[in-house]
Amino acid sequence: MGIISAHGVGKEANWAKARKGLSSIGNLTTFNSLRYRGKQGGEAKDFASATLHILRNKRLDRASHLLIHTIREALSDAGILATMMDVPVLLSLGTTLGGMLSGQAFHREVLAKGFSRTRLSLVFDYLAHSQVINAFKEFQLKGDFLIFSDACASGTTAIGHAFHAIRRGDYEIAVCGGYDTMCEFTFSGFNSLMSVTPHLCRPFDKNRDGLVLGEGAGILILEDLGRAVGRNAPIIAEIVGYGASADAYHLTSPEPTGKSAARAMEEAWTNAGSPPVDYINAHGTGTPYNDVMEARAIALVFGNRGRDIPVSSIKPMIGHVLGGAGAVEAVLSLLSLQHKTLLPNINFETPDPECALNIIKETRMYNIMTVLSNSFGFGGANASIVMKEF
Amino acid sequence: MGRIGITGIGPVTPIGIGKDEFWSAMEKGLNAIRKLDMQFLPPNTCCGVIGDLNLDAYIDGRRFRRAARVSQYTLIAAALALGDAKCTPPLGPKSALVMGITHGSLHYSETFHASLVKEGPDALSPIHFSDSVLNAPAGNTSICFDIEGPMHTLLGGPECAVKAVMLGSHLIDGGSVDRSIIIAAEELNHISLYCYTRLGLDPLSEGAAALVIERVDCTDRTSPYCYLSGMASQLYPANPEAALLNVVHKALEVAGLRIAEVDLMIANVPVIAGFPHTVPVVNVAPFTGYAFSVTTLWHVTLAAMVIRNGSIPKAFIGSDMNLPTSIAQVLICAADGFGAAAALVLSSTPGT
Repeated sequence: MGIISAHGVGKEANWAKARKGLSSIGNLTTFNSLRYRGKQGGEAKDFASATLHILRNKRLDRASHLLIHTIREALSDAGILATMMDVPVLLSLGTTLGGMLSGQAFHREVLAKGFSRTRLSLVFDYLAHSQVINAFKEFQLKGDFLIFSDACASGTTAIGHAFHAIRRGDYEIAVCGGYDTMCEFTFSGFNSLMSVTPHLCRPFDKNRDGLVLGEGAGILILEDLGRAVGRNAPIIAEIVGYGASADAYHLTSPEPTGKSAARAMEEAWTNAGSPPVDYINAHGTGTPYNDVMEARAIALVFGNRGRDIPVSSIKPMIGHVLGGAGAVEAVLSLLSLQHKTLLPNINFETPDPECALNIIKETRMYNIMTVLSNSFGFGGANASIVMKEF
Repeated sequence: MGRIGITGIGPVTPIGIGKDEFWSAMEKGLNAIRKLDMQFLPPNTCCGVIGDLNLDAYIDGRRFRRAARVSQYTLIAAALALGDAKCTPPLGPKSALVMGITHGSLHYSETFHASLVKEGPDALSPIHFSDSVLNAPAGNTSICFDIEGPMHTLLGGPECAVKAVMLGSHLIDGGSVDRSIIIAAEELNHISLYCYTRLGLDPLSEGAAALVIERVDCTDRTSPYCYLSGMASQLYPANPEAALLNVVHKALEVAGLRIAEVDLMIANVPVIAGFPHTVPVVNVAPFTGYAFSVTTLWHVTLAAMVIRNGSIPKAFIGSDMNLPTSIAQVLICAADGFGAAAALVLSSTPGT
């Protein structure tokens, strides 16, 4: 696996800060956020650019750099590069923005200089499939790609479909996950929706009042179990379930009863053989509507036991990575599983009776065997995956 | 493969809205490509645009009147396809929605950016932001028709429409849904016209297309137009021609066909190396303009109608074309210049 987030570059840096319950949310450096209601975010400040071996274009969009660097870390972690050169690979990715930084730059050039003096290369970088094509070129991959833009559920969806593709026997190896960058277009958009907190992001807290945005990428290497065992691969865990659903309710508000999100969770859990769930990595954005909906969904799926399952959201630490959120959170969930450690839902102070969950306030050791990770997005897209110790 | 049929089609094109107008336009050879006289565009820029479109004629209520045009095209295409398949909302959790899209709402994105730069955050319209999100057309469609199963938006070039069909059929095969609604949609604005014209990709177009695909044994409402019998996709940036050839061979292999058994090819690419010249090749883009994944789904729509009607529209028939005596197998190909390619085989009879 590979990860870049506001916590840092790589799984060690991320784990070191996450287990301490540190916040990497701060003032933004890439644009002036002081004129917005919410002013802070989780920028991946420790990441500048990826090392490129094949591509010569050092002016790739930041999204491509995030993606290429994270894929390289994941491939190295899986020790797989040498054995996959002639094997078709599925690259299944989620993103909400693609190369929006380039799109933003393009729009600004049009406004400032007029059409005739804009750089057309920005248009290509803007399109989400350009990042995938760049990754294919850089790693000289053979195979195919899927790019899901299911808003904040994109990363989890991409992992889920990679899992299905391997289960079907379409591929033996999938590189999957998600990415998104911090950009003013999105930041201003969430502010216009009054979704960004001017305070601390505190999911499931009675006084929560909004989310905080982040940026980053998370990549998992999924491999057919027989193949992985055959090459003595360092198997981190198994993906055992995936489910998806749509709210069919509202473009920006979640379906309030939680029944639609519950269907995604239920499908993932049933698909996994309904094992005892030891930890729920919540979508937990910190918005009033999302968190109460998610609490209701957990109650619908697990009944009274839902009140006992440890739950936390890592978004207050690194921000909401949008299309990359599910992937970054899957990586941190797997690290939790590996280290038998529950990560804290920082900033949580006042319980909300509407969110009757076992919220983890401080890091603690716990015998985690199975994790359920949720992602719910704009447009009513819901996705959940279940990961299990191998 | 082969037990899933296309039971509904809904084209929204510059040459006609709905399957009857679309077919009739192609029979007549109607050409929607017009010269645009705009100051900032290169001289002789042409495109095919959707003219006045009355959303209320297709969608009840006021809820989506302010939705971006790409969402409105999506909604109309879905309404037409679902009506054609005799599917009545609410569709519920056993229906999936899969979209293939390249750009999303260019107009709302541009408006939002311009407001931000010129007027600042206080002037921003939340609807311009929420409707510019790439999965907004899918979200609006799921809301409009109560589609509660999986809902995905795939990004890519012309090939992503075939990938949407593939994903939709995987969802059906996996048993989680009984039917998938497959949609592609694009809207034009002056930025896309300017950029792609400068890049030599013209004439452009806009619109949408929707398909309803269902497991054959689940539908007694209507008989399918045709069946999905083979499909494949690939990315091979180092050799785009090989990518196209590979997906054609793979899709035919899945369908259990030889190249010689293909009666018609519909493609956004003119020639595939090694493909027999005896097979007629058609493309709607010279009549409609080119609309990325939408063109591919217009091609699937055309293929479905050709198989049902048993004939190729007159506009496509040239003097040097070898007309097949019957049309049972149609190959649809889509490729971009970057090595992404996909192929789909539609057949008049289901496989086993």
